[in-house]
Amino acid sequence: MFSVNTSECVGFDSRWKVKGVYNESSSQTAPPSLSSISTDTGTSAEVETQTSDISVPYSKVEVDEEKLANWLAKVCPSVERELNEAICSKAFYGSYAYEGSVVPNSKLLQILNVANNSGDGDYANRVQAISWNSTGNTIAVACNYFHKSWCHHTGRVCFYTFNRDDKLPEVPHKILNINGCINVLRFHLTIPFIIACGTYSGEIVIWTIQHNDANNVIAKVNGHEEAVIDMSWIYDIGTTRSIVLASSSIDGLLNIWNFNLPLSSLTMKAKYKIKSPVLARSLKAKNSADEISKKVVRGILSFDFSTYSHELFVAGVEGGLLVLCSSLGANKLKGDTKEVPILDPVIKYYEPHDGEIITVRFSPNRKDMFMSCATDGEIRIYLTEQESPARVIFVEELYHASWVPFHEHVVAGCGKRGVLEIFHLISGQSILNVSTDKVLSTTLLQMEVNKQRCAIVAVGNNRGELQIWSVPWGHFSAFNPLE
Amino acid sequence: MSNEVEDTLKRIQSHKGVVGTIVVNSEGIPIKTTLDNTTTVQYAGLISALADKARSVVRDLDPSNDLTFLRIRSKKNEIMVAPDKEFILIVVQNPTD
Repeated sequence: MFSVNTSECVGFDSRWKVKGVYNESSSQTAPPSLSSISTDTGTSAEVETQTSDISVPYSKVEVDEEKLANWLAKVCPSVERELNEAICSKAFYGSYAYEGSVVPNSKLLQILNVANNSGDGDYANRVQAISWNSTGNTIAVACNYFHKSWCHHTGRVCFYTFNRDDKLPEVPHKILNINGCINVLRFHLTIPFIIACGTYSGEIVIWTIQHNDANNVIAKVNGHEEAVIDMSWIYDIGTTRSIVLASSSIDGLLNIWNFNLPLSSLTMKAKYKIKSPVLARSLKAKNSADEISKKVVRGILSFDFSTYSHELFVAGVEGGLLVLCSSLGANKLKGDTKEVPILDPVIKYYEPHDGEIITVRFSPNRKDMFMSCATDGEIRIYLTEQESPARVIFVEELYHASWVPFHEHVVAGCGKRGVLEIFHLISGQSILNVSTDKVLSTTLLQMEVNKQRCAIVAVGNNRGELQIWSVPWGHFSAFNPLE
Repeated sequence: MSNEVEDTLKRIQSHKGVVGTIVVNSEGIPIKTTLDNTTTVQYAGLISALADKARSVVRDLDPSNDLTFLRIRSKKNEIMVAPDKEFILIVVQNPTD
């Protein structure tokens, strides 16, 4: 292990100062040149495929003509009497003459601070989920954190109800907590005190906000293996009364849950999995990452069921895929042995986006029209029977987009610009949304139109603020920039 | 029977100042209209929701009472609503004509 080693002594002369030798040289061979070339690879050509009038005939509704004729004959005299009375009345004559013409603007009604303070100096500032209840009087808001890996946070939902002055209180009237960040909140379609919540960890919880008890949980299930991304209460197929819950996740499943309020139960009804198209090469989005395009099963980022045909739904899948599905006649996937079989509901694939899908929504006004918004900066309007989009609207980075009830020509969105953006479908252009209210420019992450009071819109930003706006949709809907 | 319906609607439409007439079914879906599609969808959806609300207010105040007629006077026009269980008749009139 140890050995003897002998070395010779080495001597050197001691010096008190050593002068270094410096040599300076420069070698400029040619004058530097700088050239700048910009190459915009994205094409912005607009292709329109509408060959006939854009208006689609409304679905025929069965009417008992005899009954209608009898009813009209009965009601007509009183209507005519009222019409004559109104035309002769001078009661309101000149009442509004002094106001002149008023140009309606969007108005900021309120700003609420809804950030989740966990107490350790860590703030959840990103407003991730907003939902109005069926009466349109109560709003639920949840903020979350930005996740790089595990979620170890506590999620918090704040509930605010309009007071007599039509204002939301500064302090929430109810707060509910859950383990894990909240990704999505959805109030029940008809029962105003039931709310479903989907978390980052894949849990689905149904709460009641009716009572002030400590235990508000009605049902709780581990619904998915990955984060719940989208949820929706939908009408069950074949019945108009029964309402079920649908949830989608990154794990690639869209699950349908039977909800029973008296029994406080949430049980699995059906599971759907959307497979990548067989001819993936032709339909593959140009910019989608290779690992996504190779995946057989991709996460479902957004979905929406048709209000006209309860079995039909559109889904936005990882990699920009857009798929039309039907819960009727869905085939069982081979090799599945689970108690609830996994079904393949795909009917049709549409021209995919070049980015990840943010929102897919059926038009509330037209049976065969849906809208998709993606990170590639496009809002696309599709007709269900046509694979390519009927209209493409080029937008700046949006984080949410929505139809506006009763105003079929208008789509609203919010994103990096920090304002509520309004787009007209006929012109495919943005409408200047003038507001006299100045707000701090922030990134807007979520928006939700109040279904009962359509003019009221809740918008959440990345600073833990909830803005309540009043928007005159009728004014923007009537406005056509092409004229 | 269809002619009778059309005749009645034409009679209402011919009244002075009448801009449009819509008949809506109990689900809020327009079944007859003299207005364009966009306006019809807006009126049908919004007015049927308002008529439902107005009816529930009347019935909440007095359970034996019911809504028979609703007139909405605005700066620009007047909307007459004749609600029933199965149908709603909406007439838009511009009284200043």
